[in-house]
Amino acid sequence: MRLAVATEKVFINSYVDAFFQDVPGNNPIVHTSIFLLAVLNLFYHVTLPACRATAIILKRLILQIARGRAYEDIESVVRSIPADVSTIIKAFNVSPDCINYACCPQCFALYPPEFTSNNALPNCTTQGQSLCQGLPFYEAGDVVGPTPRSSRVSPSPEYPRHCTYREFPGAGDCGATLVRASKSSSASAHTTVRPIKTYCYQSLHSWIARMLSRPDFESMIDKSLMVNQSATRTHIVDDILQSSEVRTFQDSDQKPFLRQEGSEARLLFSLFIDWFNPRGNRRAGSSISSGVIFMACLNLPPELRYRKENLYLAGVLPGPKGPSVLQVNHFLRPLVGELSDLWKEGLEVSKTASHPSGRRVRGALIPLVSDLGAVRKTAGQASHSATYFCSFCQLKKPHINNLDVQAWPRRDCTTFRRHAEAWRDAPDDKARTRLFKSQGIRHSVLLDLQYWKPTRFVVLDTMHNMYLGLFQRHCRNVFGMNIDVDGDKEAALANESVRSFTSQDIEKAIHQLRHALSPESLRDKLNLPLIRILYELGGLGAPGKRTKLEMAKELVAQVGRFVISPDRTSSYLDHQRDYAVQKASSIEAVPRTSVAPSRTRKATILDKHVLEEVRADIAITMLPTYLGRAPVNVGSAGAGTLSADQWRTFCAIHLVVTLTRIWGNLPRQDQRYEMLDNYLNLVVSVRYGCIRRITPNRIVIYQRHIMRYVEGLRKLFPDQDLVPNQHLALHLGEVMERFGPTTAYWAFPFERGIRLLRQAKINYRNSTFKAHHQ
Amino acid sequence: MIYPLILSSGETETTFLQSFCSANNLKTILVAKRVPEVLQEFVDLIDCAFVGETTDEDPPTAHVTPYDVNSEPVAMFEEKKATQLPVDIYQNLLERIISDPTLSQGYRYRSVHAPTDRNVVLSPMAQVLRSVKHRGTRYTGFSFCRGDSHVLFRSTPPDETIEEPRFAIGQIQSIFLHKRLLPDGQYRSQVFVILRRFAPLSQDDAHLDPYQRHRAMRVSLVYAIPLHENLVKPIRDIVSHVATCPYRDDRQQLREKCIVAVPLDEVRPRPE
Repeated sequence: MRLAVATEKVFINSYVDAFFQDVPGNNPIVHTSIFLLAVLNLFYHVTLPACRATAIILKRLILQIARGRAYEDIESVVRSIPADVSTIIKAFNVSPDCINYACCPQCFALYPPEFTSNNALPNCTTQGQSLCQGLPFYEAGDVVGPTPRSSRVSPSPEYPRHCTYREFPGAGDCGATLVRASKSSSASAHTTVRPIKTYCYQSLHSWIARMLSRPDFESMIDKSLMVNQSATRTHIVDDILQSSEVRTFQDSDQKPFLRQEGSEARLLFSLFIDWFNPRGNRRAGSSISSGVIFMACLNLPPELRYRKENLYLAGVLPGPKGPSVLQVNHFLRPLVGELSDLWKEGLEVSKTASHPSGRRVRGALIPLVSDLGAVRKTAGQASHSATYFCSFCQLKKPHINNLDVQAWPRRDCTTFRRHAEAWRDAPDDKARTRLFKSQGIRHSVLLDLQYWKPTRFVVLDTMHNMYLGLFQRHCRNVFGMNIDVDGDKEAALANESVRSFTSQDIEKAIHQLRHALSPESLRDKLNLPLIRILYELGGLGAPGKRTKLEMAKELVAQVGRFVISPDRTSSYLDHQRDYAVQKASSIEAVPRTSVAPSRTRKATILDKHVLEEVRADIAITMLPTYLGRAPVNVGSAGAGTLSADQWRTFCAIHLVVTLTRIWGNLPRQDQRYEMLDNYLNLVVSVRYGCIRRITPNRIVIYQRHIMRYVEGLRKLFPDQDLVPNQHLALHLGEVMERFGPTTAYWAFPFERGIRLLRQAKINYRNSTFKAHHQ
Repeated sequence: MIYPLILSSGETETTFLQSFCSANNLKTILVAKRVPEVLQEFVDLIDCAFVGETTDEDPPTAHVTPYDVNSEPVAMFEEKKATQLPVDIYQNLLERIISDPTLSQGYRYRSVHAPTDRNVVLSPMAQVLRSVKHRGTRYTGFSFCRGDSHVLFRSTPPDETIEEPRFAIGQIQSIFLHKRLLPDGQYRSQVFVILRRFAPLSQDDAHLDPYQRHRAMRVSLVYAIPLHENLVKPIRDIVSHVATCPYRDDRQQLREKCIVAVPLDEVRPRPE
């Protein structure tokens, strides 16, 4: 095996042969038995002790069946069935090829293992050298020689004792302790030194070599390329491979990268990074965050691209706290190193399924797909709450309500790189902060890939943006969904109070508020309706179920902000009275809602009455089995956190059915009808934004509806500023123009991968010897 | 906050990675038949063995992409499971095939009940399917799973040149696989569905449909009881599922009971 050396191409030779080796042995009883144990452990997550017990019982069973029959040497056959799953997994040679980095507990800097015993690599390390480049402690002279599989030994890896990472050339070392003493096994008193925190990284090159040993994989990537090349003449785009961005993506020779060049395989990848709680989503309790880095091979046909066995899992980032915006680069560096090799020299695989004499592979990373937080962290952009909140344009946060698309200053790749490099080369933290504040850009290790365009290759994930973003926000913040609010009671209370008070009464109440010594004294001086009026007039939102004292506390705390003119008071009272009249004369049989009497407060539009209607419809709606079900108690705290799929079902089906039924026949000028119309614009936008086939006409329709939605939102709820997700949705049209249908590269399948990851059983105990399966 | 060492040492994450990748690799060597022969019969078992994964496999399609407008699943016809189609369904199938050149491919088929002539007899035998995976989702007959039986279908033959073909809402009664002889002497197996259409509202009722004011949504009221006429369509004419909800007409102004039909998946013009 020859490993990466800076001046040479990357070769994977003897290592690849292992992918073509047969499972040892020739006894079907042994094969079936070890397969059973492997399936139990790997697919059904049966624990190791349970597998061991199963193996023992299975062996006895085989002996029982064989008793009295003419089986030759059955006892030696049974003896050759291992009870240890690790041994079985080695027999099948299915362990991924990983390198275990020591990870600094403080700054997350990574340190590769050093093997001092004959310079040999352990079984888990095949690409160590190339992965080490660019990391602290790496020296190009530390060449690791070929290691035949048969001669591999497992020496103890050695790691530095302390972290020497420096954020700036002049800064001091991090200095954190990296290792701890650990007993190597229960049978030995020998103590070894182990990393306090490890990061296990799966080699991309090795993964590619393994994939190319599959006949189906190789034929699929070749076929997919041919199909998509022939399908590029029409204006219809079904997949990202047919999209303009991919077709025009150029090689270093300025020719299209995705072309057939002899027998060379050319791969394109998408990158997904996210953080998750390994203990599951908990509403309460400890919040633990582990990260995950997935890549998908875009050459595979869309229906197979995201099958779990075709996903490349680079690594699972250690928790319990996620790395900072700067620290995430440490975890990306090994991957970027391999991607860089793949782009420049390519990977010579000594044997593939259809090329026994070997094949060269080149590859590139194009889209970065993640939720907003992870994307910004990874791509070196400011967060969505920063001044420069948008990854597509340089509109500043104070101008987020600007809907003149042409006026938005565009980002360009060259400028982005220049600013990122300036940030990277800044001498100290102060200079970096200044640069970041002025441009909203920091350096990302992804920029080490010279072909990667940070302003074009960051796509908008519609699962997060639309289902978890726009839909959720509209229900929770715009419609104020809350089963606990009885809109009629609220409106009646407000109207009653309005009818019985004059402007003078309210001014008197404001005077008392300004001179209140404590919330308790205010509570005692004013009655409930007056406090509620002050609460609304003060812009504190809907009182909801707040008690007098709770409202009084908030009022006293905010009294300094109160600027209530007599005009505003009388205008408020007029508005309330108009609403009361309108309410009394509203069309019979139209279900009641708590439409905001004042447009300046946060209303509860999806209140108890509306949600009861929605729930009744949910109970009788028939859905295809593949769709996620919205909880029947939606709108109450008991419904928990809805998944993206549930938001899709709830908003695109249930709300559409019910709201149109109860509001759809109202006069066009009725505010509820306007809100319905506005909401349906959102639903149509989401439908077109998540469509599987893109045509220019469909993009136009999408842009028209999303613009109508956002404009309607500003008109109906002028007090609500747009949020970054809504602004970003206005950019989705251009993303679809460049990359095609968003379903070809959205986050749904990666999120499913995270769900599958979490199914692995862990015993929450520290290992005292080598890691599981190694 | 102090975390247990296991949650801060990276061991949990390493286990996640090793377990996930090993399972994937085991599956791939099994699919690639790089395992002893005795294990190769477990491919189907392993294919759906990830806990929580769907057990349905996307069948191969006869078209370039599974979401193409004319894509349809490829299925093997099993003679042993074939039964004779009812006469009316058979007649519908014959008419459908004769009227659609993409199905007949220039061949003149005749009924098995018609007088003998030079034309080729269209086989009356078909294999009834409980469900079929088409464009990534499962479709079933009404009696098997009601939710998977409500569909949006093309009521006009497929034509890439037509920008806006016509669509209708229907209910799948049953699904069958049919095999017929082609002009080149080969046999072709193709999946057909028997549909009943939900009738759109009459003119008297149409103005009571609150959904018609929002045409872009393509949601509509249709009468709840499907028409009695059975339509035979190739599965490629099925566009997507339809979510349905009985319409609660509080004022009871509609002549008959209605359902709200919400077409899913693809964006298409409003049904007829």
